[in-house]
Parts: sequence; structure tokens; C-alpha cells
Amino acid sequence: MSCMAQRGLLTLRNCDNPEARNCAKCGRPMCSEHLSARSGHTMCLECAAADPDKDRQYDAEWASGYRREYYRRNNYAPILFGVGVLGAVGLAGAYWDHVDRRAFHANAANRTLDDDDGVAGFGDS
Amino acid sequence: MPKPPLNAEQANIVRQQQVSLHRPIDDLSGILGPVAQFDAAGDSSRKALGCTGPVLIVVSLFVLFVNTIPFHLFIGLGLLAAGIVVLVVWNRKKAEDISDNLRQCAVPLLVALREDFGSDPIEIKLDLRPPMAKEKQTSKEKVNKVTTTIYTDPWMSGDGLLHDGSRLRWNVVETIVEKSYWKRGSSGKQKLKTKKKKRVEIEVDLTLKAKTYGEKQTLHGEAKLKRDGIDPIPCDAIINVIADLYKQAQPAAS
Repeated sequence: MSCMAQRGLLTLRNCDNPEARNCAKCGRPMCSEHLSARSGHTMCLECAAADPDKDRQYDAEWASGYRREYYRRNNYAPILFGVGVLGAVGLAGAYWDHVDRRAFHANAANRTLDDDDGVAGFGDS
Repeated sequence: MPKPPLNAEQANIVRQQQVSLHRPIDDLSGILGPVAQFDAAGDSSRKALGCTGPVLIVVSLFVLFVNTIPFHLFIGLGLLAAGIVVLVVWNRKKAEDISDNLRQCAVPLLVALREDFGSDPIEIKLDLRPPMAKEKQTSKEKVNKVTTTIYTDPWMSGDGLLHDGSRLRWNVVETIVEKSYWKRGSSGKQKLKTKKKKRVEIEVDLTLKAKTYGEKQTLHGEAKLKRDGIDPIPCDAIINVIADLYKQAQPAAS
């Protein structure tokens, strides 16, 4: 499987590098470039950036956390090029919606509506 | 924070306080990141030295004139010498101080947009001399006992190709207005009061690629910010202007 990270801030595009391992936190397949060195390459940059104990170094992990925070603060919806797994090809002009859509769709394909992981989350009530 | 070792190019940037580079984004981050860390570490050591020197001199004067302490002359002179040495070192280290704009705005901006830039070289020019350096002073006048000094600091400009084929050019100019006047306090003492304000002008041109966006067009955006004090602007201020231009862009249908 290919890496499910998305590159960029102003516009987004799929990484699509070959998978190195799955993130220990979110489970998404990630390439070596999108795994956090600080976590010992066990977590993706986004999950590692959510760790509040991170020291403030301007690196790829900081950039990943900054992107998420920037989108949240400014309600910015970047243009997403090449959705791939969603079915569209090339310049889709779709928008990223905070949760990586490809991961959502990939998981949905393997699960039924009755599946419950026992943890409250998106869609649970 | 330990000072990172600098190579010859990075040491030259610290010495010259000017950056004019034409490199891919990863190279730029690799060069400027350690320079920013070096400056951050230098700031904390300069702060420590700047406090220690005067304290040593005050203590030495106290010891010199209190003759109840044994060997007070030797100890006092030793402390005085140490204080003077510390102040000399502090003065030398001040020459290594570069504008905080690098580590609080330019480096975060380049790292945040790292994946947006393509592999082509980016042209970046940074003036890292302190924002209120004498060379940046453009006027000084005294009206009604108030001295107004204006500094103009065009400290950053850049030009590069983004991954979607668009060309991004940006320019940041800061104008610092310093007003100072003497004021008599309630105790009758004269005190020099100083107020600093800053205007920041950010200009961005985004030339969209015809193949990606249907037609080639150049979008122009600008922002004018006013701030109290001379603290660096966050990189958000520049990214906001670019993001506003992207909001106007419509990708061509595939």
C-alpha cells in the first residue's frame, strides 16, 4: 500500500510513496518520510505533532502540526489534487476535510456499520 | 540550548547578516535552520552575560568599600576584573546577534511551505541586521520635544515555483516608528520615555499555471499590519495573504 499522508499546506496532494509501516496511533500506512523520528518512527508526523510535550523545533513534525492548526484557526480549505483512492483522477478540485478521506474510505471498505471499537469517536453517540 | 556548529556558509551569514540564496527549499531549511538555532542559543547566553557583568561590578564596588571582609581589596579587584571581562565578552557577542525575524518568521515560513515548493531553486533575500540598525534609519526629526525616528526594513523577499506550477513572489517591508521624549516624574526626576510601533507591508504575487488552473493569471495580494513594539510578525501573516489568493483559484477540470 502507498503512504496515506498528504503533502503541502496551500494545496494538498497525495504522497503515494511506498509504505514503510503503519502509524501506531492512527493505523494509517506511512512512508519513512512521514514517520516521526522523535517517536522512533512508530507514529506518523500528524499524530506525533499532537503530543503536547514536543519541543519547539521547526521541522517536518512541527510543519504537520502547524498545518492542522492553521486549517483549524483560519477555516482554510485547500485544493486537493489527485484524490486517487476516492475514485477521482488528476485535478479533482476537492477539499480536504481535516480527516484524511482516503484513510476513512479505506477503513470503511473493511468494516460494517455494526463495527464498534468500544471507543467514542466520530459518529458515536 | 547548545549552539549548533555552523559551516563556513552559515558562519558567513551570521557575520554578514545578509542572505541571498538561490537553492531548493530543503537546502534553504538546512542552511537557515541551524543559523536560527545559533541565534536563539546566542540570545540566551548574551542575556546571561549582560546581567552577570553589571552584577559583578556592583558587588565588586561593595566589597572594595567594606573593609570588614578579609582581603576585601583583592576580592573586590578580582570581581571588578571579572565583571569587566564579562562585559567585554558580551559586547563582542552582540556582533553575532541577528534579527529575530529569521527564527520567528522566515524559518517557520520556509518549513511550513516546504512541501508546497517544488524541487526547483527558490530565490530568497533576507536582511538580518537588527530592525533598528543605523543603516535602516530613514528619518529623524524633533517636533515639540518629541523625537521621531523612522526605520525602514525591507527584510525579506522571495521568488519560487510551487509544486502545482504556480510562481510565488513575496516581499515584506517593515517601517518602525520610534518616538522618544523626556518626562518629569512625580519625584521630579527626568525620565526618557520611548514608544515603538511597527507597520508591516506584505505583498504577494501568485502566477497560476494555465495547465493547472485553466488560464495563466497573476493574482496580487497585500496586507498592512500595525503592531505595538518591534516583535517579529508570525509567519501566519504571510501565509494568510498567499492562502487568500489560493481561495480565488479554481483548478481546471481534468
